[in-house]
Amino acid sequence: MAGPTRRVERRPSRSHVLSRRNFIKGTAAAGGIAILAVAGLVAESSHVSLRVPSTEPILKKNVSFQVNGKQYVVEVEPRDMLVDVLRERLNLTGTKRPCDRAECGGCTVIANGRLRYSCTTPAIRMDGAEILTVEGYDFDPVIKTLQMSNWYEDAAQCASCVPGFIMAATALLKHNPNPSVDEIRHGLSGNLCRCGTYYNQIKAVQRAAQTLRGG
Amino acid sequence: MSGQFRLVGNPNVRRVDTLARITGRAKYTNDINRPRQLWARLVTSPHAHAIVKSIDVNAAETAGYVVLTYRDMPAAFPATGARRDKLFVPIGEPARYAGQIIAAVLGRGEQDAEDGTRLVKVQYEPLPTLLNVEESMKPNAIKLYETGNQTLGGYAVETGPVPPTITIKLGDVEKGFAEAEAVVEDRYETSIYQHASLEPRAAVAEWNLGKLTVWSSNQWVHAAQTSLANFLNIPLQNVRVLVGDSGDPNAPGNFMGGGFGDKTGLKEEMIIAALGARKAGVPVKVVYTRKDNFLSATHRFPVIGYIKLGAKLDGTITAIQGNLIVDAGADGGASGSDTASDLVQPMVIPNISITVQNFYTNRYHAPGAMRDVGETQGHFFMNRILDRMSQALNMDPVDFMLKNLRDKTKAVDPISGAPYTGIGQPDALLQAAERFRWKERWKGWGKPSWVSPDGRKIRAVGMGVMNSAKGGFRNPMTAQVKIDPEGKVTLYTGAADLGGGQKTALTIITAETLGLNSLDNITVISSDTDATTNTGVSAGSTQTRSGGMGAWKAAEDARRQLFDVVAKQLGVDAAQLVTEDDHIHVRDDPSRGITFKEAAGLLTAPITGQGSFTTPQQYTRKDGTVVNGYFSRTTAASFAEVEVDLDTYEMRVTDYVAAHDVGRAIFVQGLLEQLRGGLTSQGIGQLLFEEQLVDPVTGRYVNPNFHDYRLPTILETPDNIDGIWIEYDDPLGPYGAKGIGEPCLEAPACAIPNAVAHAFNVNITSIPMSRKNIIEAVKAARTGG
Repeated sequence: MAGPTRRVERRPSRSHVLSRRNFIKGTAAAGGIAILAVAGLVAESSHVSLRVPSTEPILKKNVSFQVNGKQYVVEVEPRDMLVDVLRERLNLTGTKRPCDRAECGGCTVIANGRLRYSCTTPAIRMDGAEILTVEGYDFDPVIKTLQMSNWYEDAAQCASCVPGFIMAATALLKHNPNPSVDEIRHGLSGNLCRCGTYYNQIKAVQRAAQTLRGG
Repeated sequence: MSGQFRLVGNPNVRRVDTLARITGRAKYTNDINRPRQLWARLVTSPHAHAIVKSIDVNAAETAGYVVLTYRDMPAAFPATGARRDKLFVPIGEPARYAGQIIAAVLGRGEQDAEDGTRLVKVQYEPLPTLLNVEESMKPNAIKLYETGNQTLGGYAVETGPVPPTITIKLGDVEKGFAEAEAVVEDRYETSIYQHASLEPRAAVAEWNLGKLTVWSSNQWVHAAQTSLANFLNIPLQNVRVLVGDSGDPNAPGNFMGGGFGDKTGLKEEMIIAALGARKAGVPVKVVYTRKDNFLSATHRFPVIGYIKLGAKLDGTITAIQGNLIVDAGADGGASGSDTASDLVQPMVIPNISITVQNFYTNRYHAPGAMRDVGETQGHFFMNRILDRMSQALNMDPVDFMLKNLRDKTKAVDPISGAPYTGIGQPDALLQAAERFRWKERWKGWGKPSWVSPDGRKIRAVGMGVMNSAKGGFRNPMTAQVKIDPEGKVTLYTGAADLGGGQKTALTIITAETLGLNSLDNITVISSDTDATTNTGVSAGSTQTRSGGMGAWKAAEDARRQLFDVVAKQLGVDAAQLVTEDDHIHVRDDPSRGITFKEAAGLLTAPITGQGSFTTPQQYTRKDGTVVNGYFSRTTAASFAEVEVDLDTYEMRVTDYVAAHDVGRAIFVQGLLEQLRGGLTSQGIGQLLFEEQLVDPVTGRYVNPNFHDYRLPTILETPDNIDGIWIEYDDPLGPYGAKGIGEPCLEAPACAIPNAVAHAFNVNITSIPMSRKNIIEAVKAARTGG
């Protein structure tokens, strides 16, 4: 199912790296308990232990990369995947995570010019990388053109898949400014859509290609 | 087509929320993070049937995790009647499907919570599994419930009360078969299908001063609010349920990443988030993993149908008999009543006998109201048996169907006698046949429509008709339309936009009614119980009608209030005013008027139009006749060509034409996308290869992921997909419209199985028509079996 420019990395098992934790029992939740006590809703809240994030840098590493031209430095664990760093740490939630195992393409980004499923790309490998996501419409004209053509051709319904399609199509058009229908199908074949926008995805890429060629 | 309207039916009107969705600005529910939130992960049963002997949460709690089990459930809560509210299996009771939730662990991150689930030790005593619905029916079968294996009825959000056995009778079926000169009968079967919305089930819950807020990817927030308040035994106003929320005025919230029926009302993840947030004292976020979605969410129910059809040699159908057996999974909640209706309504048949029974198994969780709820199954059964009868009579299937078709001259429910509100037959069948060039391409029985030069690839055509329960409406139908003095318009609707374009359709109705030229000036606030009123579930293809009737009436009310102000200003009677082209003016003198913006500027305060519509007991049809009761059915005719490889048994759909009965096309681009989407993403998948495989011994899923449970890709998308809209102004729809979301998935199930049967010249009795099933059918045909 992979397109010609797709590179997918196998993810390391999440289970073999367990983070150590420091726990502060019964203190972190004080605010919450006070609120709940007002509501009179929960009797056993005082038994609840809440933990705070570990402050020990075990296995962690600072990585520095660009997303859509902007520089970020993030402390990551080996098991942190790029999609989770983008979504949870950088609040770039345009990149979706529908399957989390490199099967649907909803998390597709471009890193150093190559398509990647960010759900299986360890963030720790991204040191020094230049990453493009669907939020990069002001940074990369191909992304913006594809978004406009996608809207014009009505190639999005729920659009959980479309960020992935836009990035796959961006990589396609950067490699091949004038793709045939078969080349478009092949280039987008690693992306799943459950609403069924495939027919219009083809038209959207054709329209964007024409616009970018100045047609 | 719709010359009298500017926006309704205008093919150039584009979706209102696409750009927010595809630039990353839209916040879907699983994009929301709250300060100090914890994440929840599920501990689920690996066994399809096993007693939970013990649940040890000590290690997890010692390590600082918060764990939810059955002990955290409210001691007593008002019975909602829905079994699926019974979350978390208690010790001593059985888990009845692989994936049933035993506990949830809260951690400070998603991975942390997952680590915590490994510290929860659950001991099971495995029991024999019951994975076959026809075994479940037998008196000596193991009992899944003390009350037996037949579902006792209950209540499904989608379909209402569920009776244990549905019986539909008309005429004398024995006599009908005695009169028949040809009889065909078959046993049909369908598979378990996954909704597979790309946005997983997700919920975030937060308690604040006794008020619970739940962000939920949900098709019906108002039902979820009521159920949650009942469940927690707190006042309704202390619960707010909303879909997504950006908090950013440039990207208003309420975005869903698909639902397809799996996200209606109160769902397990909302309960986990709400109980978890209450126990931990901080917000809790639950996002199902893809595997959770496969195992612990709901699915399309499999149906076995024993169908028998009798006809005279001239093609007149004399009788139909059907026994439908629904595999209701471990939790029940399906009814199969719509499946049954697909055998009763499409053709005029004088003698009918149909029964539907539902039985529990350990094969899957519960029937979700998956897009079309039972009608892919029903149309497949009906169109296969009709096709076989045409072959038995050596008739062209189009002629056979036309001869028996329930068309607009016979548009009455044969069981209740209630007339249809409207129907698009025989126009749909005739127009689709012509567009597809059926008469040219149909070469007769056993003859392909095209053969490759080497003879190893052939193409064949097939067709079918449908008459669906979907596209109707449900009460309540409400909305509000606010006009600000600045001229800004806001539509408030309880309808959820799953991605199907509901927001756009309702905005079009609002703008058209206010006489606006574009949708640009209208903001939609939807799916938030604090801001909107209940307008029913976004399911059953009802929102164009239910939400649309509300929006239509609300916009009319706002328009009336604005006209009162303008009439005073112009010194005319408000009854003389009309609005069109962004301009309010006297009907016969367009020069006496002001722009919409100027009119709004006359307001001293915003005005709000209230929209509420209740299905009338009587309605007056266009010809003036007054009719008691109403009966909504949505019809279509579909034609498909498939290409098959006679060596490898590969199949692909090469051409597809469907004519759909829409009453009135409101959002034309959206209609086309529904038609193409219903075919390319779900229709082709469910008919040709999608299938939830269950290990026949353990009852565990063999393929709970997108690699092994294959969805259609862009490579399977046909080059030619064509849609025709049959318009006739349904009397009970906004601008005459009826719903279309599900019928677009139902129509492929009518035509494609027949085309595949013709291509391989075999009988097709089960879907998906996987290569394995086709090869079995070819072997059976060659050995005369």
